[in-house]
Formats: sequence, structure tokens, C-alpha cells
Amino acid sequence: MSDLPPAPQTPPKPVPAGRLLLGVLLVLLGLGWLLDTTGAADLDWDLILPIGLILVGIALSIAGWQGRGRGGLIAIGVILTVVLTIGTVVRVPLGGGIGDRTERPRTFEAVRDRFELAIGKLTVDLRDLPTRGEVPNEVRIEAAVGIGQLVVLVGSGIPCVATHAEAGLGEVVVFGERRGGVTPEYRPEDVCLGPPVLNLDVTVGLGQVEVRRG
Amino acid sequence: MADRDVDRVALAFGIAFVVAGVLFLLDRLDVWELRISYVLPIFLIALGVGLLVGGRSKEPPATG
Repeated sequence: MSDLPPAPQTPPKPVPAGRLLLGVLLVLLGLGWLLDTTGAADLDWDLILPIGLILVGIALSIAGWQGRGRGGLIAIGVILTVVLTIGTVVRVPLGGGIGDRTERPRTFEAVRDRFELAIGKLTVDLRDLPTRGEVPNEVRIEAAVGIGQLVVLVGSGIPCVATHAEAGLGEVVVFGERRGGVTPEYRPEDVCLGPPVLNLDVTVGLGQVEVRRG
Repeated sequence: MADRDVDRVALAFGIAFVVAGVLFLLDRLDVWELRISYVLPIFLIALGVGLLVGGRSKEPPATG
């Protein structure tokens, strides 16, 4: 038997805030995933990362106010911010699919939905839209490609086209006018007096967007 | 609470993350559109403010 006195009990070290929050986030993520997979809940995954960033910010603010350690929270927050920024710059419409696709609407009812493609080339051919008869005064058409090329063809029957085109990284070409680099953008400059006015809002995350007369 | 107890860097990053998270959330909820041309400058401004605040929080080295 040893005569040594028992070692003094040291209080357990507090769990660092970063590890604690990461654990909570992982548990919530796993639970959400499980509920989504089993069909018990329908989660909007687009909201998970921003909410995670807010939680990281709150935990970091509290830790900073109390003068406690950051525990890797800044690193987690920076990673989330970068991922969200990339997701905003390169808006990949996940439901849009992959590949080359051509949309050729023949009625104004057919252009109500937004045309989307995740990766590839999307051609929106508007030359078959009617220009006589019951034509609305103003038509808004939205199209987006995450990564790739977006081409919009406009017929000569629609004289007034107000185009807002932008790219996260790449090139914007609107009726021959080119702008390139980081976040190139083209805003409507023409004053449209006569109907029908075609309001185009076209976006590509990474690649080229082009609007031209067909 | 004494000023030296507050970790200014952590506080600055925390507030920046909350603001950024709210902006991203509003964008995802289609309440407010976070346009591509806004995101990168805001990101640079936040990074710069974080660095400036972080630089201020460092105490000068002890002399003598």
C-alpha cells in the first residue's frame, strides 16, 4: 500500500467556446439531416449556413465581451463567411440541372417562371414571342446560370429591351457591349417609350452572359 | 468591467459575423437582395475593419 497522499482534485477545464459551438452545430446539423431524410421535417438548407454564422457571431461576441478565449470561433466564422460569399457570388441554381439546354417560349405565359441552369450552357430564345395581337405592355424575364454560359436571343419585333445583366466572375455582353472581370454588370440605360418593353434580368455566377439580337 | 478584459478582436469579429449572417439570411429569404456587386466590397470592408480593430487592441510592448 502506498503512503502517498491522494492527488488533489483539479476542477475540470471548461470546454472552449469554439469546440462547444462546433459540437452544437454538428448535432443540430445531424438532427436536421436525419429529420429531412426521414421526411419528418422539410428543411431549407439555404438557411442553415447563415443561421450558423449568426450563432458563431453571438458566441464570439459573448466570449469577447467576457474576455474569454476565442477557441477557433473566428476560423469557423471566416470559413462560413467565405462559403456564403462564394454561394452569393456564384449563385448556382441547384434545381436547374447540368448540361446544354435551349428554351424557346412562344407565349408570354411561358416566360413567367425563371429559367435556370446549374452548370452548362443555357440558351433562351425569345424570337418566337408574339409581337402583335394581345401583347402586354411590359414583360419581365429572369434567367440564371451558376457556372457556364447564358445566351438570350431577342427578336427584332421587340424594339425596346431593358437589360440588367451581371456576372460574379466572367463577362457580360449586351448587344455587343462587353464588360468583364470581377462582378461585371450592365444596367438598363435606354428609356423605353413604346410597348412591349422587355425587362431582362440575366445572371451568371461564373462564366459569360450574352444578350443579342437573333 | 475593465476595458482590458474585453477581447476587442473577438467582439469585432462577432458583431461582423452577426451582421453578415443576418444579411445572408435576408438574402436567402428573399427579403433583401444581396447583389453580387455589393458582396465583395462589403467583405473587404469587414476584413479591413477587423484588422484595424485587431491592431488597436494590441498593447505596446513594455519598455525598461
